[in-house]
Amino acid sequence: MSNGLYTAYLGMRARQRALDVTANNIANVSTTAFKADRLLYRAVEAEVSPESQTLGAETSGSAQPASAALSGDDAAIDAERASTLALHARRVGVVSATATDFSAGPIRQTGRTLDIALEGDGFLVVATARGERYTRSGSLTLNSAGQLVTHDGDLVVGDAGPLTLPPGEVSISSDGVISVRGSIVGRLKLVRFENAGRALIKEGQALFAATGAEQPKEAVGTAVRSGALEMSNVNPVAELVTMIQQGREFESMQRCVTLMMNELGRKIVNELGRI
Amino acid sequence: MSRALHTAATGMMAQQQQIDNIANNLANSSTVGFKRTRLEFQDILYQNLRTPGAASNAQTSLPVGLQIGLGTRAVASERIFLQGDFQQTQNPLDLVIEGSGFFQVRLSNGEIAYTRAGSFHLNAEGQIVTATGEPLEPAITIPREATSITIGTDGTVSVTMPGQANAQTVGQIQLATFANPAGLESLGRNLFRETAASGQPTVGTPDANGLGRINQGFVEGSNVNVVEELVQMIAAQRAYETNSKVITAADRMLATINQAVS
Repeated sequence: MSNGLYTAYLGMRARQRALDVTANNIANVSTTAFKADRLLYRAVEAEVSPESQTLGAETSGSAQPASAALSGDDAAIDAERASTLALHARRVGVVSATATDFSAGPIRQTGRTLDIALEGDGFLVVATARGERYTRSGSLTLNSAGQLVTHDGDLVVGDAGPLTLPPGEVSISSDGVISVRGSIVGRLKLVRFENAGRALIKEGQALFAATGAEQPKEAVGTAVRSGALEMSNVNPVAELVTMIQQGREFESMQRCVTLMMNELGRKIVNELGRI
Repeated sequence: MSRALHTAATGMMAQQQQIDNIANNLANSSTVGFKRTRLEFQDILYQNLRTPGAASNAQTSLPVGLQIGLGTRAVASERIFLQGDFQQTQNPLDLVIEGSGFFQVRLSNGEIAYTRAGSFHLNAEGQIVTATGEPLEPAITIPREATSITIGTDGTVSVTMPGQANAQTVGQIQLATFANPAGLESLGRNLFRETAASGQPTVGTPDANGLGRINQGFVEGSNVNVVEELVQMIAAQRAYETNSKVITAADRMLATINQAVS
C-alpha cells in the first residue's frame, strides 16, 4: 500500500511540475521569439531486474502510474501472473522531462530596421561574458559606441566579429548583410543545429547555451527579415486545455490517495485485525 | 507548487506593464514629436532539475533534461524613432526634421536637452523657445520689428526688416545625432537627455553629414499607430486573463491537497 501511495505522490508531483511548465509558457506569451516547453512523462522503476528490463523497454514513456496491477484478485493469481505483477509493482511511478518546441512563432511587422525575424531554423550568435550564446530574439539595438547589441548589451556577432554601425540609414538584406547609407558594414553570423533540442539548453534572457552535443553549422536556408519580429510560439488555447487536464489528473490522483488512506486502511485495520 | 503561482504572477505583472505602456502611447497619440515606446519581454532564469546529457547510468545519458522556467519580465522600453506624419500649419516657427537629428534646447539648470517637437514660439525677449519656455541652443533672437521669419532647409534663420529689401540672417539652427538614439532618457515634455547608452551627441548643420533637413511651416505628429496599439491592448488583456487562470489552477491544486489532508 505504501508503494501505491508513493506512486500517486509521484503522479501528483509530475502534474505540479507540468503546471509550472504551463505557467512559464503562458507567462511568456508576449516574449519575443520565446520557444514553448513541453513536459514529457516517463515511467520509472524502483530497481532493474532481468525480467523487468524487457518489459520496461516497451512501456517506457507511458504516462500512467502502474499501481493498477495491485488491485488484481490475489487468490486467482498463478505463478506466471505473480511474476508479471511483481514487474508492475516495481514500476513505481512517473517522472518528467522537458523538451523545447523549436517551431517558428508568428512574424509581426514592426517597421523598425533593427528588428529582425529569422525565417528558417537559424540562430543569431551573441557574445556574452560567459561565452557564445544563441538567440532568435531579433529585437536589436545599438550601444553608445554604435555596436549592434541585444537589450542586455551583449554584442551580436558578425562574420568578422562585432558589428559597428556608423550613424545613418541602416538596411539589412535577407542574407544578413548590413549596410549603412549604401556601404556594407558586415554580415550577421547565423548558425543552425541538426537537433536543436539536444544541442541547446535554455538559459533565460532569450538565450540558448550549447550543450556540446553538436557543433553549430552555418545556417544556409535561413532568411533575415528586417522590420519584423518573431513572436512567442506559445498557443494559449492549447496551454489552457493542457492546464485543465493537468488539474483534473491531479485531482484523480488525490482521490487515489484518499481511497488508499481511508478505505484500504480501514479494511486492513478492521477486517485483517479480526482474524 | 508556489513556482506556478509566482510564474503566473510575473506574467500578470508583465501584461500590466504592457497595458501601462500602451496607455501612455495612446494618451500621446496627438502629442507633437512624440515617439512611441515598445516593451520588450524576456524569459527569466530556468531551474535545471535534470541537465540533458547527464549520465543516467554507466552506458546511457539523458536525451532531454528537466528545465522549468520561472516566468517573464520586461527588460526594455524601446523607443521607436520612426518618423511621424507631417502636418502643415503655415506657422513660421513650426519646424520638422526630415530625417535623423534632434533640436537642442537649454534647460533652466543649464543642461542641454534634445527634442523632435519643433513647435517653437517667441518669448518676451524675442528668443525662439519651446512651448514650455526652454530656449533653442544656440540661442536665436528675432528682432521685435521683423515682418517675416524664414528658416532654410540648412537651418539658417533670416528675417525681413521693414523698409529693407534684403533678408538679414539672425542665426543658425544646429541639430544633434546620437549613435544610439534609443538610449536617450525621456524627461517628459517631449525632451530627451543624453546618457552613457546613447553616446555623445554629434552636432552639425542640418542637411549635411546624414542630419535631416529642416522644413518650415510643418509639425511632426506623434508616431503612435492607434490601431496597432488597440490590437496590442486586446492581446495584453487576454494574456493577463490567461495568466490569472493559471493562478486559479495552482490554487485548485493546493486546495486539493488541503482536502486530502483534512
